[in-house]
Amino acid sequence: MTKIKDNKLFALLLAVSSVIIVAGIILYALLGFNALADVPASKTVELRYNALVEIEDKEAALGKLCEDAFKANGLSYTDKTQSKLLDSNNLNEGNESMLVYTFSAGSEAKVQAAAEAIRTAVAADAAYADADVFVSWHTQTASRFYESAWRGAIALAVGAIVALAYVAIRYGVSCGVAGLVCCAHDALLVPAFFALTRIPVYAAAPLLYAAAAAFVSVVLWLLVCAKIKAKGKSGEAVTGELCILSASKESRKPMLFVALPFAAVVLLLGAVAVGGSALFVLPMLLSVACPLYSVNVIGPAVALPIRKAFDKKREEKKNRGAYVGKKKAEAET
Amino acid sequence: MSKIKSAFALVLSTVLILGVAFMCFVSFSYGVDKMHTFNSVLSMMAKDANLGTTLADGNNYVGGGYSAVYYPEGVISAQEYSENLAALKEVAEGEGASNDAVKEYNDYLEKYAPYPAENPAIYLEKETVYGEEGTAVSEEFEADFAAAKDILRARLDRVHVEGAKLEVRDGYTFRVTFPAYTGAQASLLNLFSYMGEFSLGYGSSADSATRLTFGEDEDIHDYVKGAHSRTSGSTAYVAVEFTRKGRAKIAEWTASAADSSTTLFFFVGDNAVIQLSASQQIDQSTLYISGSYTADTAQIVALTIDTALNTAQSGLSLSVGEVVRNRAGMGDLAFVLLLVASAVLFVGMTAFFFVRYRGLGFAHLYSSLAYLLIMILAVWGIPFLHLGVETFLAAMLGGALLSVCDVAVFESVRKEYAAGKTIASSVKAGYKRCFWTIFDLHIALLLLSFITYFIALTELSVFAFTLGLGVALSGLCSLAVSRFYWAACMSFASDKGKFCNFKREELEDD
Repeated sequence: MTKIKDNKLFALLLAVSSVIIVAGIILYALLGFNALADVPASKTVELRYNALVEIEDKEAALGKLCEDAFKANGLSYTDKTQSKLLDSNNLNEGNESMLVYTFSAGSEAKVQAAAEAIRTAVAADAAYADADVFVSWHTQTASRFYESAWRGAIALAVGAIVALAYVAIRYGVSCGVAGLVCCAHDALLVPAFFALTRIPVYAAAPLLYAAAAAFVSVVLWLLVCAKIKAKGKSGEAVTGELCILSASKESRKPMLFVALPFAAVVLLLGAVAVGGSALFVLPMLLSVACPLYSVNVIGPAVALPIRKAFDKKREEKKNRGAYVGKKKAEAET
Repeated sequence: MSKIKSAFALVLSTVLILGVAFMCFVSFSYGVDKMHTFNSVLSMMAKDANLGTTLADGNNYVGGGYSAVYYPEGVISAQEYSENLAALKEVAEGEGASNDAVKEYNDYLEKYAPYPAENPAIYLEKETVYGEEGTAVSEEFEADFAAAKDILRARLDRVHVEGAKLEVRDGYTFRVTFPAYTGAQASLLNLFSYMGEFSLGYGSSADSATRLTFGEDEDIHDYVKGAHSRTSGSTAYVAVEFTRKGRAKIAEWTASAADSSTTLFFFVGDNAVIQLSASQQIDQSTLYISGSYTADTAQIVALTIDTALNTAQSGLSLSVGEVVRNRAGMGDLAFVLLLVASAVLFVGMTAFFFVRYRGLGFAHLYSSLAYLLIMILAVWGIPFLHLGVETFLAAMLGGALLSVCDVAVFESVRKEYAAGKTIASSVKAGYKRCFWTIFDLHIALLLLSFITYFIALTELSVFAFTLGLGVALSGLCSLAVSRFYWAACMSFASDKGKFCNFKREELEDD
């Protein structure tokens, strides 16, 4: 830590983080996140048919017919759903069903060609003569919602400020401010990373990643704070500065130990729960890694000058013979 | 704790935990021809649009969502067009077909334009969509369509359910998707399609109602401020707020209601969303309308009115087309796999405790089982919570926090024991040493979680609340439940240090 402070590496690291955060915010304002996981634009081929297909067990054959057509046109679908059409007034099931294939990639021309091929094949097959099979293709473009995004950002900011105000009351202003800086750094850096790298995410996921980063950040920083307080009480460290330095050094191992179960949660949920949920969970590893970095590097570096300034002020007060507080005076004697 | 008391406490809590675990995890069918089913709490729990599971009866599905296509006036599906055309063609080409039938067929052909021109997905009625003598979609239609999109987006945004989606389909239709746990789905589907201005009227029926007319430089905002929903006890209300002018107008309309009852109508476009029968004069600045609303239907009605009042107007009227039930967005397997992942994590963490602390692992096992089961019951019982990936994550993070706190306490006790204290005083001193750190940690995290929950919406709100719940339970389990089971389990051990895998520090003999 002393080394970091001396060679101004801290300033450089903070500058790098700031650049990433600012660039991320700008890119988010211009392009938003890469919400590809939510399939913002898709094409579908839909087959609507009556109960005869179901009664005569032709659904599988109809599905195979479609999949052959997609294969022939070099298409692979991302989702296949089969559902009954519902009455809009009471949502009761009707007699008609729908088979829907969704494509997130592939040209419109290919999808149209595949739909046409299915239409021709169905028309040529006498088995579907009375099934009223209607084949259509569609394009969908999703709209973005904004209210949840800005409300979420405000919620996190207010939550972090209040939580760290509590830390400031319990462990001192330097701990509160440094904790807030770490928390803000992590909660901003994580979504900024996703805005910059354009890694596909679910639209709501970056805010959750930011919340998880703030959560882990508070947990890890409180470990350091508890250590600083213990050092101060035990009288092991002579000055506040030394207190912070040794506490941050000694907290590294417990921090890793604490981060491990959080990382295990993310890794296991991501690795075992394959598919969409893995895409949702795995990027959250960054929400564990980022606080580890910030609490080790940024937190103590921010807490040091504040603690020094407070110590200096207290020393001056003491020299003037002013009242410094009963507990502090007792501790010093 | 005496051995008898410990045995009693352990047996009782084991039976209780097993019973609750059975309720939470096991589903089966029973009876003649498996007519009856017992569904586990986990399978019955509301799930978001991404997760879903079939209940034990094999028919009912919990999770996923609904989606519906809205067709603006003048836009029809390719299927509707081809079916109508085929019917007209049959008549026109039939034996002895009249000239009118042929004309009707030709007119129909002329009336609609395919969109896109090749392989059309929809058909556009030229007169409505192109305007008179137009050859392309008119600016007016485009503007109305954009306004309708804004209104639908505002409505879905404000209903505050995660997984809600609005898509523009084929350029000129909408597809609306929302999770199945949303209440009043049919009302939402139909009411959200209502476009047009909000207006008031009175009379005996909606069709013949006398509508509110405006003076010069006046509009509906001079009479009505907005609408919101409210629930008091088991009664839900739609509250319509009037301006002074609006209040006077309603009082004027209902002045003779005591003699002959009058019905007030609240319209969105041409659709009456509320019909209120008045049997006495209404003279209130905020009118609370109850009727047969649930909290969900009241919210949807209020939202429909408020967005019609306070967003850009659209001249389009929408009709509800194909409605389907969607299965889990992340696939049917996602829910099971998340359960498997959570189970692996739980077993892994518990195994660590048994390896490092031997018998003390039981204290953590009971404590984490209590945490897990209370979390499941809480998510099931709290109405606004539902199961999603974020709920799993928050619960697991809370579980990880419990494990971390237990390790911190156990290690602290280990140090005390190593220094030469008895196990009882080590436990006391260890807990005392860790108490304030654990307390502060949980208070700070509770503040972060619950404040985030109160301000945030949808996914983040659910994540924050579940996390807050997990943090609170983690604190309780770590400081109270683990300690209780520690005392209960340890009373059977003859060598307490060995039971906990604790060793005395070896002192060097000078």
